[in-house]
Amino acid sequence: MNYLAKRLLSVIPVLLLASVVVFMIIHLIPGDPAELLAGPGVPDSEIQMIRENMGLDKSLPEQYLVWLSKLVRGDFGESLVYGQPIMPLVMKRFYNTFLLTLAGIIFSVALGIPLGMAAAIKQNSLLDVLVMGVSILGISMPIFWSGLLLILLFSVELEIFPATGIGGFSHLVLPAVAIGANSMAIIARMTRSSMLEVLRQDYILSAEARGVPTFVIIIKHAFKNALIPIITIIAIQFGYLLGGAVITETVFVYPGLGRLLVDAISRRDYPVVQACILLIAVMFILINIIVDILYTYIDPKIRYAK
Amino acid sequence: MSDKNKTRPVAGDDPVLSIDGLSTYFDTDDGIIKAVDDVSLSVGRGEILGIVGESGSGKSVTALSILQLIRRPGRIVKGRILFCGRDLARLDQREMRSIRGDKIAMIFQDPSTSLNPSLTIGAQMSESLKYHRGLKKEEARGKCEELLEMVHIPYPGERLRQYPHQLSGGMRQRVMIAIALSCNPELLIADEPTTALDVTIQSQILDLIRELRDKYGTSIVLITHDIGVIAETADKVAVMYCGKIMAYGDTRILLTRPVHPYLSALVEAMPRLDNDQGLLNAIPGIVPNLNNLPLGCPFSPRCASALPRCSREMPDLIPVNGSLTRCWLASSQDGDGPGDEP
Amino acid sequence: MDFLKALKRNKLAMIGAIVISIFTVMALGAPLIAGHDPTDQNLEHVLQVPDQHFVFGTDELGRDIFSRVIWGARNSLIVGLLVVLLGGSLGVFIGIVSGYYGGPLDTVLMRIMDAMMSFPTILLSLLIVTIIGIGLEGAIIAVGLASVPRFARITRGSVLSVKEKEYIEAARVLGQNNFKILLKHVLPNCLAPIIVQTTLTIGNSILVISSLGFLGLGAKPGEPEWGVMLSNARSFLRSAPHIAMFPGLAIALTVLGFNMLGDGLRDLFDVRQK
Repeated sequence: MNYLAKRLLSVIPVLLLASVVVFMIIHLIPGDPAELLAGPGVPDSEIQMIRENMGLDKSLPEQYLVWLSKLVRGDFGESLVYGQPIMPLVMKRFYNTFLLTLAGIIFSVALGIPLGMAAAIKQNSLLDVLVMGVSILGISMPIFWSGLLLILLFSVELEIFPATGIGGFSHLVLPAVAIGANSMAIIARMTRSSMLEVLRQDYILSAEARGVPTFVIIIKHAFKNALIPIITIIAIQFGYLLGGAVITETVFVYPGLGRLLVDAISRRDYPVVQACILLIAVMFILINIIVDILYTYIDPKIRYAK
Repeated sequence: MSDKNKTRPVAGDDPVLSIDGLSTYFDTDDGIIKAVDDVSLSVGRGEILGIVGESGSGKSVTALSILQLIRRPGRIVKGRILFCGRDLARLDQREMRSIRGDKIAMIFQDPSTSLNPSLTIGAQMSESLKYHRGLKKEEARGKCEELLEMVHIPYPGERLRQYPHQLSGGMRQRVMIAIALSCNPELLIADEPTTALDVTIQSQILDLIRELRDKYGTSIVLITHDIGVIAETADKVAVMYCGKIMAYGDTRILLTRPVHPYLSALVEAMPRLDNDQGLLNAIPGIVPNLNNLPLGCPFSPRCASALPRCSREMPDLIPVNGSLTRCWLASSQDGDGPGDEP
Repeated sequence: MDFLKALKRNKLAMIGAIVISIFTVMALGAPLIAGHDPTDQNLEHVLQVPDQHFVFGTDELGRDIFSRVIWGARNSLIVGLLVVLLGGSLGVFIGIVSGYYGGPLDTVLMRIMDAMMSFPTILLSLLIVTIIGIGLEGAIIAVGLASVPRFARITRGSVLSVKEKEYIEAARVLGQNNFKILLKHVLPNCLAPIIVQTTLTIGNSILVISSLGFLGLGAKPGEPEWGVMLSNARSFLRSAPHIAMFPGLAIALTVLGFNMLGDGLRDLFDVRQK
C-alpha cells in the first residue's frame, strides 16, 4: 500500500510537466497569441481586448498559474469555433474515445495472446508461419486503409455492420477491429517471443520432468512468467490506440477526442487542441500507473522487494 | 556385458533400468550431431550409477532421453530404455507423463532456475502429488511438510508459502529433491545436483542422496563432471566422452586401476587431500566439436598415449580387468595390464 | 561477401529489399513509367474502373490512378528520406553530445527523449504540426522531430560503451580533439543499429506522413500523395471502391517492405533492443 501511495504521488510532477507543455503550445506557435486566439480578420481593438481579458499581457508564469487554477476547477476555456465552454464538449468525446480504445484493446488482447501462444507452442509449424505473416502484415497496414476495407466488406458488400457514427455495440465493431489490428499483431509477436523465451527455461523442463500436464505447464508455469513483457506491450499499445483513435475516428466518422483534435487543428481552435492533448496525456499517465500496479501483483519479486 | 558376474553386485540380475544401444541425435543446419551414440547402461535396485564426463559428453542428454524430455531438434534415433519391463523409448507422451515424477524423478543442476519464480514452493511441490496421486490441496500440503522435513528443511509450513527467491541455494536443491521424492520413485536421476552449490552444501546434498538410497532403496543415476563426487558416491560409473561410453564398470575397480587414458587423466586431475596440486593437472586440449569428430577415437587428439590407429579407427567397448573400456591400448594389451601412460 | 550471403539466406530481409527496390525504381522512373500526368484532369473519364487504357482506373476528377500511385511512390520515398535525414542527424548529434558530456545535460536530454518516445509518433506529430503549421513541410519536420529520440538513444548507448574503451584514452593522449575521436570511433560502432533504425523509421514515416495526408494535415488536397488519395476515395466508396484499393496497397506494401528489411537486418546484425 505504501508503494501504491508513492506511485500515485509520483504522478503529480509528471502531470504538471504535461500541463506546462500543453500550456506552452499557444506560446510556441509563431505569432501573437492574442491574434491567434482572435482568429483572422479581427480588428486590433478587439485583439487588445482579448489580450487583456485572457491575461496575455501578463508574464508567462503568471499566465500559467491562472490557466492552471482554471483547469483544476474544470474550466478549459471556450472553443474559438463553437463559442461554447470546452469542458462538456470534451468530456463526451473523451468517453467515446475511451470506449473505442477499450474495445480495441479487448479485441487485440483477446486475439493476439492466443495467437501468439499457439505460434510459440507450435514453433516453426505452418500455424506459426501464418500467425507471424499475418502479424507483420498487421503492423504494416495503415489503419485508414484497413478501415476503408472493413467498411467496404462489412458495410457496403455484406451490410452486417454500420459504417459510421455511434450507437450500440454494432457501431463499435468495425472501428474496434480497425484500431486494434495493429496492436493485435504486435501483442501476438510479443506473446510468441516471450513464451518461447519462457518455454526454454529450466523450470519448465523440471515441471515436465515432474509429470505436470502440458496444458497446466503452458498456462500456470509458462504464461504467468511470460506475462510481464506482454503487459508492458499492452500498456504501450493502449497508448498507441489513442494515437490510432485520431485516424480511426476520422475513417468511421466517430465523434471522439481524436476527431475533435484533428478538426481543432485544422480550424486553429487552439484551446480545444490544448484540452484534447491534455486529456490524452492524462489517460496515458493513468494507464502507466495501472500497469505498474498490475506488475506488483504478477511478479512476487517486485511485491516482496517493496 | 559378459563380465557382469566378475564384478561386485553391479548390474544385478534385476536391473531397474537398462539402456541398450541408445542413440540421440540433433539435426542442425551443420549436419547431424550425435550427442548420444550407442550407449548401453544399467542400474540395479538400490544402486547408484555415476555418469561422468565434460560438458558436451552426452551425459545430460542421456538422462533427458530416459524421460523422453529431449527437445527439438533432438530425437531418439534408436535403442531401448527398459524400465520395469517397459521400453520407455516406445511410450507416447501421455504414458511418459504418468511415469515422470512418479516412477522416475529427476533433479537438475541449478535449483535457482529449476524452480518457477512466480509460484510458491507449496504450489510446485504439490503438483506431483496432485497429478500422480490425485491428492487434494490440504492432503498434499500435509505430505509436502513431511517431505520437507525428510530433506531436513526446518519450518516446512512456512516454507511452503514462500517463493523460490526467498530460499537459499542449498535449500532450493533440497526442495527439488523433496519434490523428486514425493511419489517414492523407483529411480532418481540427478543431473549435476551439486554443481551450482557451495562446497559445504555440496557434501550435504550428496549425503542426502546416499541417505535416500540407504533408507528407501531408491536407484539413482548421478550425473556429474566431478570424478571426486563419483568416487565418493557411486557404486558403478560410466565415463562418457563425445557421446560415447569410454569406460564402464565398478567404481572402485575403475578408479583405482584406470585403463583408459582419459579416465586416468580425470583421476589424476582429481583434487585429493594428499595431493595439494589441486586441479593443476587438468587435461590439455579441448573437447572436439561434436559435428566434426575425428574418424577414430574422439579422445585421440588429446591423448598422450595415442597410437597411429587411434585417429583412424574407433575401438570397441571391451572387457578389461573386470570393467569395460574403449581403447586400442587396452585391446592391444589383450586386457592383461593397465594401460598406464609411458 | 559474407554479408550479402547472409542477406540472401534471410528471406525476410530479402523480400523486403526486393519490394523496396521495386518502389525505388518506380519512384526514380516516375516520369517514364507513369503514362499520364498525375494531376491531369479528364472529366470525360471520371471514376472509370481499371481497363487497358487506365490500368488502375481513374478517380473522381478523371486522373489516372496508376500514374498517381507511381508519383506517390516518389513523394513517399522522398518524404521518408527527408524525415530520416532530419531525425537521424539530429538524433545522432544529441546522442553523441549526451553520451560524451554526461552529467546533468545527459540526464535532462534523455528524460526529454524518453518522454517523447513514450508518446506515439502520430500524436507527437500532431502536437508539432499544431505549432509549426499544417502542410507537407510541417508534417515532415514534425515526423522528423518525433523520430529523434530513438536515434539519440541508440547513439548515446554506443558512445557510452565506446567511451569506456582504452583506445579513446589513447587517442586523447595523442592529442586528437574530442569530436574527431567521437566521429572516428563511435559512428562505426553504432552503424548497425542506426541502419536498422533508419530502415524502420523510413517505413514508419511513410505511414505517419500518409496518415497526416489522410487527416488533411499533410500534403495538399489534389497532390499525388497516397494518404490524400485515400482521403478522397472515402466519398466514393460505394460507387467506385477501386480508387481506395491501389493507394492503400501501395502504402501497405512499401511499409511492409521497410519493416521486413528492418527486422531482417536486425537479426542479421544481431542488434538487441532493450
